[in-house]
Amino acid sequence: MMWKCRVKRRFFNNLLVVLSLLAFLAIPVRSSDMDKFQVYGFADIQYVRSDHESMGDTNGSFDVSHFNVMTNYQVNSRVSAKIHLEYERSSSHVEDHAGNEEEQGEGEHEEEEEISAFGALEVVWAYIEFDLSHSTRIRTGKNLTPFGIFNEIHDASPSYNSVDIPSAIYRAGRVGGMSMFPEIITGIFILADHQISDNASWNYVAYVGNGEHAEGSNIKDENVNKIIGGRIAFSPTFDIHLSSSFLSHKVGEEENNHESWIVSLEYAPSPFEVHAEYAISERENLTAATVTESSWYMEAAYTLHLFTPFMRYGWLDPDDDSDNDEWTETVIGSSYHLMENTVLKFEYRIYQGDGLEKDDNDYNEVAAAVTVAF
Amino acid sequence: MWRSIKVFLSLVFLFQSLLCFSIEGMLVSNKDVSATALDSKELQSIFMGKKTSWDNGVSISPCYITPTSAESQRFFEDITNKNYLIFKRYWNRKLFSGNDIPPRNFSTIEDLLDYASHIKGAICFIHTAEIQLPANVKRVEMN
Repeated sequence: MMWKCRVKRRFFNNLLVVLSLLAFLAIPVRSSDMDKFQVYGFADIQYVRSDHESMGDTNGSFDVSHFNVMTNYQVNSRVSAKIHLEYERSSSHVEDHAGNEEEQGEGEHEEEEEISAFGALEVVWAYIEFDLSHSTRIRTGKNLTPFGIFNEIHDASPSYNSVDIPSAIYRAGRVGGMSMFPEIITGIFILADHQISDNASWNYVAYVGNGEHAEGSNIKDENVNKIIGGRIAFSPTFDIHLSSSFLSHKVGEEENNHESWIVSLEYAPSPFEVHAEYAISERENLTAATVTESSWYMEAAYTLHLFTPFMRYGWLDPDDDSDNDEWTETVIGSSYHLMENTVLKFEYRIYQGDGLEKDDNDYNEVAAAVTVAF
Repeated sequence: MWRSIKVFLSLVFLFQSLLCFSIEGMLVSNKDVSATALDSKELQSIFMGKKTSWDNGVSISPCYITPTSAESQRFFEDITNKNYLIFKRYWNRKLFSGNDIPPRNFSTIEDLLDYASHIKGAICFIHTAEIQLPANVKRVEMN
C-alpha cells in the first residue's frame, strides 16, 4: 500500500503545482508588469508503432509526449528569472531522460505505471540570469546541458523537422549504449555572443555544476567533484554554424571518470538544411576499465512550400573494443506546415545492428506527431 | 518544338520578374532609432538575432507581420534571406532553449505600428508600400 500513498502524494503535488501556476497566471497585475512577464511553450501528441515486440509498442499508441510551459520575468533591466515546466507522458511509458529503460522491482513498477497514468510534471530548467553586458550573461540554477545541437531542445519538437531527435548520440541509452552526457546540470553558466561582422559571429558557454549521479542526471550527485564543460561556436556566415562541446566529470561514489566531446556542423542555405555531428565518450565502468563509445549522424532536409522532407542516417558504436555491437538508424520523413505554429510530422524509422542485445536486433517504427508552439 | 520551349521559358521568366516587381514593402522604426537606412546584411543580422543593440546601446526589438500570402512570404525571404518555416524553426530553437526571444510578429499592421510607436529600439517590416505612420514611427530606407 506504500506505493499507493506515494502515488497519491505525487499526484496531489503535481496538481498543486499546476493550480499554483494557473493562480499565478490569473492574478491581475499592472500592464507594466505584464510587459515584463512572458509565457510561451509547446505541445505535441505522438503516435508510434513498432514491428518488434520487445523494442516498442506493436499495438501502436498515442501519447501526449510533451506539454511544456516556459515563463520569463524581467526583474529589472539586467536580471531575469526563467522557469520551464513540463507535463510528460500521459500513457504508460517508463524510461528515464536519457532514454534508458528502467529496471525496477515489481512494486516500484506498479508505482511508475500508476504515476504514468497521470503523467509527470517536472521542472526542466529554472534559473536566474544576470546580464553583464549586451553580449555576456551569467546564468545560475538548473539548466539543460549545453552539449551539441539538440540537448537543450531535445523535447522542443517545433524546433526540428523530425518527430524525435537523433537517437545515435542523444538516445544512446535506448540501444545498448551509455548516455554520453548528463541531460541536466545545476550550477553556474557563463554565456557570451560576439558579432565579428554583419555576417560572422561566435559564441561560447562555459559552466561548472553538480556532476551526474550513477543512476541518472536528475538525481543529486554523490561525490564532491564538479562537472566542468563548455561549448564554443563560430558562424562565418548566416548559413554555416560550427561548434564543439566538451564536458568532464566523475560519476557515482566510485568517482568513475566520464569525458565526452562532440563536434557539430550546420549548413542551411535556405531552403536546404544539413546537420551533422560526431561524438565520442569515455567512461570508466565499475572495474575501472575505460569504455569508449562513439557515434555520428547526418541529416538533410529541403523545405518545399509547406513540406519539409528529410532523411537522417545515424551510427553508434557502444564500445570501441567490442566487435559486432554497432547499430544504425535510418529515418525518412517529412513535416507539413498545417497553419501558423502548427506542424504535422510523419516518419519511418529503420533500426539495424547488433547493439540491441536481442536475438532479432533489427526493427522498424512508424511515427507521427502534431506539434504546436505557442 | 525548340522555339516553343524558348517562348514558354521566356514567358515564365517574364511572369516571375513581374511578380518580383510586385513585391513591395517598407521598413519602419521607433523615432528614437538613430539609423535612417539599413542594408540587407544589417537587416538579416537583426532579424536572425545576431545584432542585438543599436549604436547608442538601446536594445533592438525587431517585429514583422506574419506572412500569410505567397507575396508576403517572398518579401519576408527578401528581408531575412530565409524561408519562413526555416526562420520559425531557427527561432523556436533559440526560444525553447531559453537563450533568446524571437522577433515579435503581429497579424495586423495597426498592432505592429502600435508596438513600434511604444518600444524604443523597435524596427519592423511590413509588406505594404504606402501607409500613414503614427507620430512616434518613422520610415527607414532599405539599401
